Amino acid sequence: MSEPALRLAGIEKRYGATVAVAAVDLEVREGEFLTLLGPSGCGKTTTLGLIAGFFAPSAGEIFLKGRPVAGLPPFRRDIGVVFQDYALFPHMTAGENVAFGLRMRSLPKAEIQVRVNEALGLVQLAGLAERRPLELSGGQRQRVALARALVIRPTVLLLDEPLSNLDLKLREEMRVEIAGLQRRLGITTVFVTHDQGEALVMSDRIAVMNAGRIEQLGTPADVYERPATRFVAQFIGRMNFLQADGKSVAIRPERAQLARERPNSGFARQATVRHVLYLGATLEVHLELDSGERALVEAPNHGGPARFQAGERVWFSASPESCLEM
Amino acid sequence: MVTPWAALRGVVVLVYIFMLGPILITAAVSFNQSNRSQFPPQGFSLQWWQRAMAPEWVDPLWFSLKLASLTAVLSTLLALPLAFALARYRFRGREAMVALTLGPLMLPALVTGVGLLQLFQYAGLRDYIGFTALLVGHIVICLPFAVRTVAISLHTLPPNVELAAASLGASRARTLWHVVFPLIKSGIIAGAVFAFVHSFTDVNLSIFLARPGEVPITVKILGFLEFGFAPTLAAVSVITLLLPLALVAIVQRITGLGDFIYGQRERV
Repeated sequence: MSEPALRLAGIEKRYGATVAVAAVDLEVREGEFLTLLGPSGCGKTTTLGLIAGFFAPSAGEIFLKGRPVAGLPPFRRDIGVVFQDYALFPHMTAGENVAFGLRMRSLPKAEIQVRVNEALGLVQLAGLAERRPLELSGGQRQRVALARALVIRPTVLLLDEPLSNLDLKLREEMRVEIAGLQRRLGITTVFVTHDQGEALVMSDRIAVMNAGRIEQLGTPADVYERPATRFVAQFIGRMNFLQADGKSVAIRPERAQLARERPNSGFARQATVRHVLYLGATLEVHLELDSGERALVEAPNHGGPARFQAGERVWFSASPESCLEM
Repeated sequence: MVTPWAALRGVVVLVYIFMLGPILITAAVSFNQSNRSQFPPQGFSLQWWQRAMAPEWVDPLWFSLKLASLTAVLSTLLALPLAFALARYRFRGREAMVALTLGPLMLPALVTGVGLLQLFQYAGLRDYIGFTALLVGHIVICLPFAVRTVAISLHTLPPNVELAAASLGASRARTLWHVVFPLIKSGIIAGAVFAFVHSFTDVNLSIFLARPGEVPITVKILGFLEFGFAPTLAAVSVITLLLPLALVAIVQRITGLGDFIYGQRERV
């Protein structure tokens, strides 16, 4: 078995009595796109900073291709970072920004020129090398930041919420573009986000973090279909948590069904429709079960008049395989 | 009715009158033909300007230029590490350092001058009274200006650019050289210019630390006033006034100093 590109072994970061990252173990495979997903304050950005070397861990070791680097300053680690605010050098042109890492590596001028042009072409900014960051749009700045991090061909690429400053449409485009670029270049990537949509679309694997720990590590389907903890279940997608025989059962709103008659098998509860939200592609039906619990059903919109109205009596049900015991 | 804009315009006009009026009057007086400082001037002559070019005046002027230049360079060099430490780090004794650095700003330079004079005398450094003592004193009173402007420019650095440089392989020193200094350049230059002007125009402190042959122009002018306000003095005053103004104008043209004083252009 080959050495992972990046390995965290018992990494901890404490600030006084506060634990920002608690004993994290993680392996990122060569060429993998791994996402650290979690709410703000969960330790994901701190973990990224530890990998980059912006601060030292309180305990544990970090291995880059098997080499321990926890004691090395960032400029000796060979890691590319794209920051949330891009952190471009405002006094340099786009081309000079991209060339910076190569200049620091004392490459010959001719080679720098070739690689800068190549990198700018890769992010579709060929021809804008002479522009200053101030003269570029938000999306273009982001591409410069990406090219600047990629051009040094780092062992690992770190992306710190790079999409959160873009508007919605551009964000969705860049999701696909960055993920595509990453696969084409086969560059090992750690991506930090609080946006579960981004995480699901872009990642090979997702590490869901909470309170400084990794709650679950798995493929997007793993964490969505088989959440390991209640936190993961409610952080990724939406979830109904209901009581059944003294146990807690979790049911995704889109896997639940509504019917007028009692279904034959599986989980079934009688309920009253509270209100129906029309979302275009789907309808959201909010229910109050007879037990007093609330539940949500998401149904595709097939057109025609709504099947259920507020105040109606219905059966809320789910097949046994759609019920997760939590 | 007086609108706010009209009132503001009035204030601006008054400010200009009180700022430029004395200068223009002094300049006019220096061209008097008689040896009395009259305004409006009687006749026209350049004799007072000729006298102002004598070593008696040129030497202290040159002395002041040297003193102010050296003060500007040294206080800026001192201000850089000081501003870095104060702006970036929390350490024991930081408050004391802030007070010490900015203290001279609150203290009348006169008091600092008397204190320094006593220090030099009692410490057996009497021989250093003159240029050396003046240099030390001027650095003390100019440092707050330099530290403040550098510290302010450090705060305007875009966040993360230093981390970005580090991640791209730049050591601490190269990050400073290639990223931090270019971005705070106008702050450093502004600090140096403030220090130069403050040193060049100081009289309160200099009066205590000068000695014959090592006299700044301001002290020389003050001494000469005992004999009344001769038109020579008017000519010297105009030169003394124009020198720092010219410096500020040149620096502003080259570096866009105005950006720093009147607020930065948009930053990324």
